[in-house]
Amino acid sequence: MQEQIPPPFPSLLSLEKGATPPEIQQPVDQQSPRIHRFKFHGDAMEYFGIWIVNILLTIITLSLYAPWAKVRRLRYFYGNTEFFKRRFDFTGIPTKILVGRLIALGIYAAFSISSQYSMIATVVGLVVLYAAVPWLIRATMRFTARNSKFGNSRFYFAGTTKESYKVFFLSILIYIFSLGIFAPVAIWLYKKYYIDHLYAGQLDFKLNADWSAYMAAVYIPIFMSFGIMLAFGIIYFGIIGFIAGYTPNFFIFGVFAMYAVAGLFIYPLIAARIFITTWNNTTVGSSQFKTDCNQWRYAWIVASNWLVKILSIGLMSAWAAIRIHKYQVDSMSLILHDDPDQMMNLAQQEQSALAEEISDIFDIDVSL
Amino acid sequence: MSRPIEVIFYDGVVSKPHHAQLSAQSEFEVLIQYGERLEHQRRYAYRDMELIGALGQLNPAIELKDDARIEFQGALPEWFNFGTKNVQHSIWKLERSPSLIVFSIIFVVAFVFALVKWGVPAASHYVAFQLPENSLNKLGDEAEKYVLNNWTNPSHLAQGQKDQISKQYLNTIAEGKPAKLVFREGGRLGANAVALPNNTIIITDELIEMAHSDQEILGVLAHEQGHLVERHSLQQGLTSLGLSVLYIAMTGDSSDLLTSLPAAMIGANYSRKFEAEADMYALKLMDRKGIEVSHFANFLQRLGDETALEEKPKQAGKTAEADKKADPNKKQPQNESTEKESPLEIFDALSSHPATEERVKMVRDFEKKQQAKP
Repeated sequence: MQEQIPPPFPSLLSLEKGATPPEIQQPVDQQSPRIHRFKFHGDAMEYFGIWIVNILLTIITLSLYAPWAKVRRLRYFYGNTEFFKRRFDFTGIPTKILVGRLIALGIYAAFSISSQYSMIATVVGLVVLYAAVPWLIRATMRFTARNSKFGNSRFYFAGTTKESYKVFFLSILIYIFSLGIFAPVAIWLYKKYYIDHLYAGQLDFKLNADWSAYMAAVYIPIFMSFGIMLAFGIIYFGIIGFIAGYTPNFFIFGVFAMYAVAGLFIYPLIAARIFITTWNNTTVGSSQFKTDCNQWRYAWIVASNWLVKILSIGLMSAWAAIRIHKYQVDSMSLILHDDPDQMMNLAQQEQSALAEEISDIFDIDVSL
Repeated sequence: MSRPIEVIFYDGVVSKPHHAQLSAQSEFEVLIQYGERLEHQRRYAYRDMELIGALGQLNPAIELKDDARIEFQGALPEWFNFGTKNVQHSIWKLERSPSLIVFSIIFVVAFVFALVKWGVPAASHYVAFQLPENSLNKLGDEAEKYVLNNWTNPSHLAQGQKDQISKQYLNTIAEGKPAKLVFREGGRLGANAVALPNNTIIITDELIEMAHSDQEILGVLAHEQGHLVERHSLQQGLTSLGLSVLYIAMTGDSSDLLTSLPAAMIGANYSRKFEAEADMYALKLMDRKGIEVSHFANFLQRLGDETALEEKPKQAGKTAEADKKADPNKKQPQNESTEKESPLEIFDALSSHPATEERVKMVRDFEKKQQAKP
C-alpha cells in the first residue's frame, strides 16, 4: 500500500507548476468563512426513467446489467448533488463490479448448496461469514470512498481492518453486557470509525459528537412513543372501550393500531435524529457541516415513503428515493474555512469491488 | 481536422477546475489545452480513458489514468473515438424517451406479475421434487416436537379405535407412501389435523370425535396425505425464498418492516392454492377408493359451523395464528384447521385456508362431475 500523506498545508501547493490563479470560482477568503449550501438537482420523473430502464435491462440481460444499473443509480444521486458550483460523482467501473459480483455469487451458491447437505458446512459457512463481516464493512467503505469524487477530489477511507475488528467486537460486548440498552453506542462507534477515517482530498472528516448524543437520538423517540402509546391506550381502552364495549375485535384493532403507530413513528424519528446528530457534529478540514432539517418533516417523509411504496406496489420507489435524498441534501450546508480549489487526492490503490459485492449479496447494510 | 470544443479540465493534482479546449490529435489520441492562455498541453490516448456516459441532465465525463478528469459541457463530439460511446448514448436515450419508459413499465410489471404468479411457484414445484425426499426431515422433527410439547397433550382415545383408523389409513389412503400417524389431544389446536414435512400426520382427538363416520376421518387424512405427497412444505419454503430474493433484487432493500407485508400476503395466497390442491388430491383419491366424497364435504361443513360457534371467545388467538402462518419465513405445518373469516379484512386476506363455503362447493362440484360421468 502506498498511502502517502500529502502536505497538509495548501500553501505548499504553489510549488506546483500548473497552478494558475483561480478563474472559475473566487478563492475563499480564509478570514471570513462563508456558509455554502448543498443542493440536489435530481428530478423524480427523470430518475424514474433511469430506474425503470435499469430494471428492464437487468431482466433482459439476466441480471448481468446489474452493475451498470448500480453505477448509474449512484451516479444519478452523486452527480446531481452540488456544492460550491461543483458536482459529486461516482466513478466505480461496472465491469470490475461485475467480476466481484460473480465471485460473490459463486461463494453464495457454494454456501447454500453445501448447507443443504451438511450441518457442519452450514455452521462453518456462517462462522466464516460472520468473522468476515468487519473486513467486508471496511472494504466496502474503502471501495465506496475511493470511487466517490467531489469535483475531481477523491474521497479516501483510511480505516484499517484491525480497527474494524476492534469496533466490531467492542460493539458486540457493549451490546451483550448492557443487554442491548447501549446499542446506540455501537451506532456511534461505527459512525466514528467511518467518519474519522474519511478524507476528501487531503481534508479529513471528524465526528465531534460523543456517544451520549446517539443515546439521546435513539431513546428520545422511543420514550416519546411510549408516551403516545400510553396516552392512546388510556383513551382507547379506557374511554372508547367503555363506550363501545370490549369485544375481541376491539382488542385486536387496538393492539394493531399501537404497533402501527410505534412502527411508523419510532424508526423514522430515530433515523431523523441520527442524521441530524451526525451532520451537525461533523467537520471536514476546518469547515463545519450544518443541517437545518426538521426531525418531524424528515420522519414524515420516511414514514410516508413506506406507505406510498406499498400502495404503489413499488413503482413509486424512485420518487420516494429522490424525495428523501433531496430533503437530506438540501438541508445541509458547510461553513467553509478551506479552499475547495486546493484539495489534493491521496494516492490510493484501486480497490477491488469484491468485498462490496459480497456484502451486497449477503445483504449486509453498510450505509451509515 | 476538427474544431476544438470547450471542456472543464482537472489536472489530477489539485481540485481546481480549468477551462480547457479538447481536440482530436489523431485517431487514437486527444489533445487538451488549458491554463489562462491555454499554455499547458496534455495528450491522452483513448485506451487510457474511462468514459462515464451522460445520465439524465448530467454531461459525460472522462476519467484518466493520471487521475485527471475531463467534463464535457454538452454531448460528445462526432470525432470522439471512444469504443462504447454509442452504446452509452443509446442507453441514455432509452432512459429519456417516454414511449420506451411506458414500455418498460408495462414489461416490468407484467414480468414481475408472471414471475410471482407462475414463475416462482413452478420453479419451487420443480426444485421441490428434485430435492431428496428427506430434505425437510429435520425441520419436520423440530416442528413435531414443538407441536407435541407445546400445543397438544397425549391422546385419550381407546387403542382399538386408533388401530382401526391406522389400519384403514394404510389400506386406502397411504398408497405405498405411509406416513407416521400420531394421535394427540388437541389442546391449543382444537379439532385439527396437521401434516409435517417429516412424513408425519398429527390428528387430534377432538377431530375424531367430531367426525360422524370413519369415511370422514379418511377424507381428512387424504387431504393431509395430499400435502405430503405434493411436498407442499418444501414448495412453500422454496417459494418464499424465491419471492424474498426477487423482492430484494427489485427494491434493493430487505430491511423495511412494513414492506414485508405484501410478501406475506402473496405467501398466504399460495397456501390457499396448496389447500385447494390437497382437497383435490383427497377427492380424487376418495373417488378412486370408492369412498363417497360427500363425507368430506359434510365434515368440512361441520368443522366450519363448530368454528363459527367457538370463534367469538377465541378470536384473538386465532388471528394471531393466522398471522403467524402467513409469515413466509416460518416453517408451516399445513393445517387442517378451524379458522374462518376473521373480523378484519386484512386478517382475512392473510388467512391461509379458503373459506369453508368455497371448499364445500368445490367438493359438491366434483361430486356432480363424477356422477355425470357414469
